[in-house]
Amino acid sequence: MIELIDVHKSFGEQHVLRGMSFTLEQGQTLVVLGRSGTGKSVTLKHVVGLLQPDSGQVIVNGVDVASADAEGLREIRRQVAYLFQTGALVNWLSVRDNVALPLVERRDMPSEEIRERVDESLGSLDMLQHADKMPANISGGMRKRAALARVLVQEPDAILYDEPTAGLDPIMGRTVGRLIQEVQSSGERAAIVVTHDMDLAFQVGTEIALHYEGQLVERAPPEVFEQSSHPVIREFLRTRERPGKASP
Amino acid sequence: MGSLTETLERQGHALRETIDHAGFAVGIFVRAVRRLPADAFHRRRFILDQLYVCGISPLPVVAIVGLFTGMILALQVGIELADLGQAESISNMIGVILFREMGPFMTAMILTASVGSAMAAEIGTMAVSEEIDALECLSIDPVSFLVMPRVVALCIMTPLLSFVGCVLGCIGGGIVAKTQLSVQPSIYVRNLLTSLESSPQQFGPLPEEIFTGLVKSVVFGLLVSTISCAAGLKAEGGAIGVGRAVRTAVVRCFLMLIIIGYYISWAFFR
Amino acid sequence: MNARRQDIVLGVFFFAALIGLGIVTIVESDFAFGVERHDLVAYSDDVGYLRPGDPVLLFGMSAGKVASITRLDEPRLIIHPSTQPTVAGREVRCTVRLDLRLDVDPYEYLKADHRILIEDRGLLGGKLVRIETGVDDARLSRDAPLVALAAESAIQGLGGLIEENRQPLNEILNNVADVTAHVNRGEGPLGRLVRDDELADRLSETIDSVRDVTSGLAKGEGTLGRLLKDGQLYDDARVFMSDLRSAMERVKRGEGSLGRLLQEDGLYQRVDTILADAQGVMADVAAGKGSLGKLLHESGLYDDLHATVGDVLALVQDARDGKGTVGRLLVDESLFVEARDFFATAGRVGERIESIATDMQEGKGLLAALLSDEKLANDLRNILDQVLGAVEDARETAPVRSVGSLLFGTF
Repeated sequence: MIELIDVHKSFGEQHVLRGMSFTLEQGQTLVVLGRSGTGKSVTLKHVVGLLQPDSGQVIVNGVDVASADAEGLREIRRQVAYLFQTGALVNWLSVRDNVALPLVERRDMPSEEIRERVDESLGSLDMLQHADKMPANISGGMRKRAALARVLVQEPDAILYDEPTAGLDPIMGRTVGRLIQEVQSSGERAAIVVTHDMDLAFQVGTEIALHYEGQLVERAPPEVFEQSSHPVIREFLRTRERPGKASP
Repeated sequence: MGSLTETLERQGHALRETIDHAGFAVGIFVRAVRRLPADAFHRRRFILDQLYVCGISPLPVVAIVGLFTGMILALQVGIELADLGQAESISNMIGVILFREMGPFMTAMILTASVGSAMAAEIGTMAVSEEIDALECLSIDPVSFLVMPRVVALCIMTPLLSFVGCVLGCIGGGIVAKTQLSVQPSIYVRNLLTSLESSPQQFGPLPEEIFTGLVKSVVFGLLVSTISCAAGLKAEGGAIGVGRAVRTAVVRCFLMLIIIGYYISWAFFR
Repeated sequence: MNARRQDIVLGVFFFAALIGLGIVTIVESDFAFGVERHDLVAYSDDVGYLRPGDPVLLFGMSAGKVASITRLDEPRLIIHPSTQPTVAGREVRCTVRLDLRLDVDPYEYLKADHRILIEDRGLLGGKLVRIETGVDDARLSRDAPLVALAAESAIQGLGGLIEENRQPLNEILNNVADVTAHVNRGEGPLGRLVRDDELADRLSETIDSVRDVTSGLAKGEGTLGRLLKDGQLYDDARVFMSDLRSAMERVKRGEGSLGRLLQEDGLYQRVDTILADAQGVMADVAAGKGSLGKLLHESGLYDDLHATVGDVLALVQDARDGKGTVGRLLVDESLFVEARDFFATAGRVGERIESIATDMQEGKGLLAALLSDEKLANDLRNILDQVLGAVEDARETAPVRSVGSLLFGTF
């Protein structure tokens, strides 16, 4: 479904992706671990066409993202949804309007149907009672849920989660993890979860990989990944054993 | 030698950035205009919101500045004219100066400071917090969603505000003319109307002075909205980036208002 | 093309357009979209401070600008084509070439008797070129050299007028000086009138009273007023004239006493005798004989006037008080104040004129010197020319001063 082939990307002198290659099939949830600033989010942005690779190919459902025209890109973005770290809700729209936004912008859906789907999506995440609030008046966890509702209302084939638990307390983080599990439970959607939250990684991932020096390394199911001898992975795993003593 | 190379490199980089940003601004303006027929009705709610933000909110400031500008003009020019025994011609001067040049320019300056900077800050904040990327991921064109309503709103509201400012400026000038220069209000109003009616050219029902002032205002509205939105969309680097975007927007707006204002004056009054 | 490269290309295009427009506005100041320019070359012997950029009028409408003015190395001798008697066939020695740029092709309109005049734009200075196309049937050849003539400015014209009429002006001023000197010395009735304050006061009172009377008349009060205001008077007058005409007809026909008087010789001779007697009486009067003769030859005119004015005053005073028939005629007042002010002003003006004239006779002051000193007159003419130049400079700096005042004053 999603395939990256030898993707290279640089920002000035900084060579972020150095031959990044991986494939992701439907039903898989790939968790990408890595230290801050290594280019995890950059990888995700290549998938939805927000960034263009300097070289290599990004293919989504058989379409090369870099060479897709506007309509092709729109179709790719309809199939692959992106959950941003901050939620990225539009500040001057209510939660309900934010969730309805992608459907309203399609301009081919009756308003009744939009309303039904929005209520369904918000209800599935227990956000219906906050539907008419403005993003600035709800908590960070609720914003994440509202953003997830906006993603789900599009009924995508794949979801890209960018640091879904960043800035949340562990309890809320676990709740978000549970939500992702629920979303992925149908087995029909593919997902990439970028995080450095080890608990979340082991909670939701069908496979875990390390983003290291511009490439994905040590990709494996959680139980195998746990046995890896890669020094960075060992460091990450130690944070899971002794939370609060992670190296920066 | 090394420092010279570095300096040149820095200047070259700055020039390239300036050209890049100018091209980006031209690009989003063209895109906004192209999206207008298809999206204007669909985005009517946003356009109405922006009409309020751009037109009603700055109205008190425009009114006060317009009133006092007219009073200052009357005082400064009136003293010179009174020396020549021509104090009664003050309204001719005030009408022409305000409607042709000062009104549109003054209004555009106020809108740059109050509305343009807010646009740059708002869109800049969206840019640095990935909201623009989020919109693109939702297949929403940020130019159509964010820029077009603002351009339309400022194009409509700038001439209206400018006209209000000019009228209040004329009233302010009339107050000073009566109290300081002993010019009768009836004579002041008659001279003002005569000076506007006796324009060498008429554009439909409008005298040349008012028409060119309105044309200028529309162009100034386009400039302020486009430059401010472009600066916001180009923002990067968190809060500092937003601050830089606001400063860039205001400075570039001022520069372009002066330069384009000159070209419009040249086109009409040469 | 990626987005960044596209932005840079657009940016380059934007700045190129901006700079291009700037160049167009500054260098090509007469650039205009869709207007075809036509050049016209004219020669002149005196461009009278004309400058590039000054407007060119065709049919009295702005049709272009002076593109450039060049001094020729070798003067050109051109026969001026004008049909005007004073200029026709005159050979003009032209040392300056004028390049005019017009919105229309002037040769479409120029006739053989055309004129190209360099004129003042206004009293504050500035020049323009006025093209008079002429009325001749023959159209001007495109090869014919054109001559531009400097027209005389209004101030130069005034100076010339003064120069031409210096002698008569001098005489007039001398006469005025004599008259005012006499008046100032109290000579003659006018001088005594001006000098005698008491008389002036009484005259003033008289005028006051007369004003009261006339205002009453204006309101139609009293018999006289009613006569003036009443439309019946006109009708009565018409009837009277009609009657008079018919009476005269009868006189012509010799009817009635008067008719017979005119028609019969006996009567005529008797009238002739009476007239001869009257002539003798008048001769006695002229010789100062008898009461009437004495009255007319009394030398104390001034004393009589004095007394008469006193009497008139008393009379009018009575009238104002409502005494007698005239007194019943009046009511209103307003004219006198104006008249009194006028006389007071006239008195002061008279004094000033007298003082000026005295000074002029003594050769004091600029005007006197101007009239008597040839060198000074020439100097003044030079100064006039310089003033013209200064006004021209002031006209140029006025916009700068105004804008400066506006900008620095306002902000």
